[in-house]
Amino acid sequence: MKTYQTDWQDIKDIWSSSAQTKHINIEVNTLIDSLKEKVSPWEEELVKKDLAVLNLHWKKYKSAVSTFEKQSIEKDLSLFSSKIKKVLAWFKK
Amino acid sequence: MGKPSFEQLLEQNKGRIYRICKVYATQPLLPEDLFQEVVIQLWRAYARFEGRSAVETWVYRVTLNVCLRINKQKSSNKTVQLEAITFEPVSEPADVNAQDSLNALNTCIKSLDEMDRTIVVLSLEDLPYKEIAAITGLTENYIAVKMKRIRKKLLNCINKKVGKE
Repeated sequence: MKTYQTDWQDIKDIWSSSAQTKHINIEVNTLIDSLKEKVSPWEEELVKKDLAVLNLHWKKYKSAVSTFEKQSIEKDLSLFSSKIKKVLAWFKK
Repeated sequence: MGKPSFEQLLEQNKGRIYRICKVYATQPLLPEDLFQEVVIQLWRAYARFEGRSAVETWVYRVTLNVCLRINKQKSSNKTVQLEAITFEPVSEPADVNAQDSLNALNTCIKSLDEMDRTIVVLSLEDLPYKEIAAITGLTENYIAVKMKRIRKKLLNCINKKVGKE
């Protein structure tokens, strides 16, 4: 027997009332305090992890680059000093 | 569009957050667990919210992301308990028919696939297709076509469940 058909508006009404099955009480000040407590350690943990990754990469990067840089600086310095020596020798003449 | 305080944001949106959590909560998770996770995520993201989009749109986006992510993890052990949030059943029991309809609606929405569920939830929240498109990344046309089908599917499902056919 067809008595009544739920239509879309009924569904929307049911949906709107669905939050009214419970009262949600929020103690905002307490909540914010506990959020600060709970979120901070989590974020600190993330920052620590990021720092550890950065440190690890920095050590690798630092050692790899400094060797290369040392070599190129040594080459540059020896080039400069030889040129300067040539210039000084020219002045002495 | 200004940025409300966190307190205002929660007060104005707690009802809609809870409605969505009810649809996405699957055993062993309760809607209350999801609600608390959403509050934590809103708190984390609040500092970065610049008020460029509507607050409601932002809240929906965060809520849906949390609900989908937590359900994928399928773990209740990791949900955080915030004692500052309490849930009390309403003192007067709801009309039995209304309660049946509500249970039927939740069951029928839960039976939809993930994307259909998201679209219908946002549509039931009265969001225009343009905003649903902004949240889901789908086109307005696609949503319009999808909604026609989902509406039909949902009506059939509910009418069968509440035995009115």
